[in-house]
Amino acid sequence: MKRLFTNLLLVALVIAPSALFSQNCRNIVKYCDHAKREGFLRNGQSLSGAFAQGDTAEITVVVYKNMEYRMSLCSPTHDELDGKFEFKIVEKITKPYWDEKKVSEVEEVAMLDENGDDMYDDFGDIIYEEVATIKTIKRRRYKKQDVVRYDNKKDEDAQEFVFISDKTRKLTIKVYIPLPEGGDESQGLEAETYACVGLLIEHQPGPTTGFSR
Amino acid sequence: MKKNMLKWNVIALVGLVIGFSSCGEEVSPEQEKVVIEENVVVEDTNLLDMIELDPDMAYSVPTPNELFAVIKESGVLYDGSILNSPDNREKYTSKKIQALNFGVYFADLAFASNFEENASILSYFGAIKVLSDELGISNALDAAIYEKVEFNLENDDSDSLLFLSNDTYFEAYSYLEENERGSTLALIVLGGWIESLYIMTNLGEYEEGSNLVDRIGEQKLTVGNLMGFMMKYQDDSNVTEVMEELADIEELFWSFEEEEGDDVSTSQEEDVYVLSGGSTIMVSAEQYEKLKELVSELRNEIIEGEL
Repeated sequence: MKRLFTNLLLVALVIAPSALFSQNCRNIVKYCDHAKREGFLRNGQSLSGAFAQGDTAEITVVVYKNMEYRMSLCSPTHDELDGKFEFKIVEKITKPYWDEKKVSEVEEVAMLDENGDDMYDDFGDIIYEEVATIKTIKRRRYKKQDVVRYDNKKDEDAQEFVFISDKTRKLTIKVYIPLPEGGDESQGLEAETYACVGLLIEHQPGPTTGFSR
Repeated sequence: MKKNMLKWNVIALVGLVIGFSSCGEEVSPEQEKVVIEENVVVEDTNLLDMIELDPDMAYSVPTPNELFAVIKESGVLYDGSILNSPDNREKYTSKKIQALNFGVYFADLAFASNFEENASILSYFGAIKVLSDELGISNALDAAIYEKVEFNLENDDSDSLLFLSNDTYFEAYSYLEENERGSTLALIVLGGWIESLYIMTNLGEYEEGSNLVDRIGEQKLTVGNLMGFMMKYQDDSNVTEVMEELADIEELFWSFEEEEGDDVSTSQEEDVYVLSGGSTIMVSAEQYEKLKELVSELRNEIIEGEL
């Protein structure tokens, strides 16, 4: 009984901070710096939440053809994280390929002589031989492959990503929430600290012809 | 008839190959006496993996406002006659129907706002206000929203009206999230999406490759996210019921084929990145008509309060 109580207490200690934090993080995205003056509207696919530092959050969004989008991150509760977020924009691309395999089928067929007649053994029975037919079977298959469309580490740790797309597409945004100063991932659950993070997505109609601005 | 024959031939060929692959064995050269080589090419069997919804992933659904901003760019014209009448709001008595129609009216408002049809805007704000009271989310909406809408209507300020409709959606959305009423939110999002789809499929006839038809086909991407979003709340029987109603539409979307396009690439022009390439979703006339029919059926059940 005592052990059960201890276990429950332990679970509560681990879960409660994130649960409480998650309550307070709702709609935190409204505190992120927006680009309303540049004509952007807040997009309904923005995300707010409590995330363990050192973890990676993932969100899947749909972006429309010829719309201009701006994605940015902020943590009003942990100012020290601002400017340090790492994020990638990944698209699952369908790649077609041929799946090729050779199979053999063995069957017994009557041996034929020079005249094309069945051959017989000394007992008058037809002589059979094994014929193996090798077939190359090709099948068109598709596989989903992750293609990194943008990585802010390769863009001087930029904290916003402005883009347009020539097609409507589904993108996954992977955001790494940095560890606190001196933090160590190996410290485990007890050391986890949570940060309220907002992923602000904004949109506006893009250029109507081509992609030049 | 010819088409049917072709179909049966393809089925027979696929069956033959499946038979070979299951009965055949890997080649062992020692066994062979006589070897005949044949090449059998099986056509594209469209074995594309179906969507895999990751329970740890957050799925977002574009709002009607964003969708109609895109639709407006397609060059279609506004048609207010296809929208749900604000007078219907009195029909909605159950919480499920109220939430669904809250989403419907938001989509109608978004359509009117994006096309600057100011005459309709106030009545849709009115319908939303009534339903927000019924759903107990009126606290989420700006108390002075009417004054702001009226002020902007008097000043013919369409941009501000668009911002107001966008912000109103956000406030309602956030309030429901904050108060852990995700199932109500799921119904609102679904109602808004169905109404948006209904409007789109009633703005024009099928024309292969037209902007409108392309935008409708692309909703295949959204339906996956919509289901992923709703899955979080499927413990609520109201959510499960509407997910069941949506199943035929979802399956139809999955039948839309994807045509391979250029290789994907990311380039940069000034400070803006450009994502290019990838596949295009194709919609046939038959699929378009079927979608129109299924969406109308579900939408009419929603606005008649019969779901």
